[in-house]
Amino acid sequence: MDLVGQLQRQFVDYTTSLTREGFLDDQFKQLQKLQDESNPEFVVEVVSLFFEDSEKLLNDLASAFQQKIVDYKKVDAHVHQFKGSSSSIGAQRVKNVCVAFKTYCEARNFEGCSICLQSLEQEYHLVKSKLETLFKLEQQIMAAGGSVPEL
Amino acid sequence: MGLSISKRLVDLMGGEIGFVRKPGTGSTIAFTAVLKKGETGSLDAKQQYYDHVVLDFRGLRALIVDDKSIRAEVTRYHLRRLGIIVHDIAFSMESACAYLSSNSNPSDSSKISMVLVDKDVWGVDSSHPLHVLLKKLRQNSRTEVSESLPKIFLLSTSITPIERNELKSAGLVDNVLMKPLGLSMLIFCFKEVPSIGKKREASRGKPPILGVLFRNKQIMVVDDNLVNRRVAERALKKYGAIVTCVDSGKAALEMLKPPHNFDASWISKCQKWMGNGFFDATQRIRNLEREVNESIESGEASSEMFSNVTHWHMPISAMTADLDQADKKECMKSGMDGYVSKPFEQEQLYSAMARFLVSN
Repeated sequence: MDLVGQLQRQFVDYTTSLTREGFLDDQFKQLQKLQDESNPEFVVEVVSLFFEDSEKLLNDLASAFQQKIVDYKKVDAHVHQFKGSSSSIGAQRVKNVCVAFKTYCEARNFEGCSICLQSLEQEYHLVKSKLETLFKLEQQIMAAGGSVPEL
Repeated sequence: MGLSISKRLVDLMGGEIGFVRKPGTGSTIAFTAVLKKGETGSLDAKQQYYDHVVLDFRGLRALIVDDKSIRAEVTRYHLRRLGIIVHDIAFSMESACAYLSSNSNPSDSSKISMVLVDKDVWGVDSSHPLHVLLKKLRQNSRTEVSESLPKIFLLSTSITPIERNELKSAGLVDNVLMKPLGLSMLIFCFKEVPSIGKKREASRGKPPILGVLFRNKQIMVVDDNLVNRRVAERALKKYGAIVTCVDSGKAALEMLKPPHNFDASWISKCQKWMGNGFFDATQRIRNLEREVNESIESGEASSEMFSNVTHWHMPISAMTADLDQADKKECMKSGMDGYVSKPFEQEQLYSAMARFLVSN
């Protein structure tokens, strides 16, 4: 198999594994479908926005928990945002942590929330590095003169 | 009352209405109206869409269950427009069940694909004889044949989305058809039921319908998160919609004061509008609309001031990742018309938005 073929095969396998392991869901597939000749960079653009947005949200969350008295309404608002944006790009595991996080917020359960925050940071960084790897693969395919396979 | 309504409509269309009555024979009613020449472009696209879709239904056979024969004839007429044949009308649930029992091993050409039941006939019987019958037929037949058992549709003039969902999730009906019946509404409701109609290779896969549905429609997206706005915008623009994004309920309210040109709006939950989320924004929009509608009705304001629209009600959909039952109830209570959830894939977009955007 030539280089392009190999890279394409890698790309398909990697995307499949990400879906299987729950990192990305159907919404990410939809994002890819929304990309076309008139919007060739759509997925990368939106995911970059997601990274920026998420990092800010994680900072806001961390500082909210550093306050003497935790404002759970504020925390809930931040988590809600995170839930929305992660579901918009198909970051399923991140979204699932947000769902649990919200429940703990409503119950004003400090421990539960702290654990969720840690979990959120973990899952976010995981999906971030996976997506960055995916994009690198895409770039390699195109640099080698091939086209990114549609799934 | 019908004549009085018709007169109002004719007046609004700049015409006149009159009738000639022949005792023992009947009445002939005639009217004039001032019409504008349509833009040929839009007609072609719509015609293509209908021609394409009608192929899915032509030749199917339906049974109508209705105890009022004239009303049943009207239903038969609408089905005929889609090429659906109605050979028989049953006047009660009992006769419908008897008919279907005798029809249970039909040849392809006489097979009943769908049963349309008027709510009047359906209403009282909580033992749901049709449902019981179908269950029995399904058990008695081979599994391949059970796929082709008739689909059940309820014809109703008024039903809440909650009632509709309850009927559907209990498996009592495949869908509810709202009256007055219209071609687009029928197509939309039939298409919501999978495996209805003929399976043509072309019809499975992407519907060109979405392009027709969304093209040049003005949609507002309200969400305070940039990522969500970007994704929703792209999903709509892909099918030709003209999208305006705003980041707060406040900004939305500014732009949605009648008169405006929006065909529909997607409002997300995370709107920090007085801390009450999208329900609050919707209520405010509906209040605005109600004020305007009342002032037009009372004559305080003329409809010309409001682009000649005498009744303002913009379709508002809740845009959300997931909506639980409690949320759904809140949505309906606050005046929303439906919801659209992620992923924004084609079938979902179609079923969420078709009834608002197919202009009649």
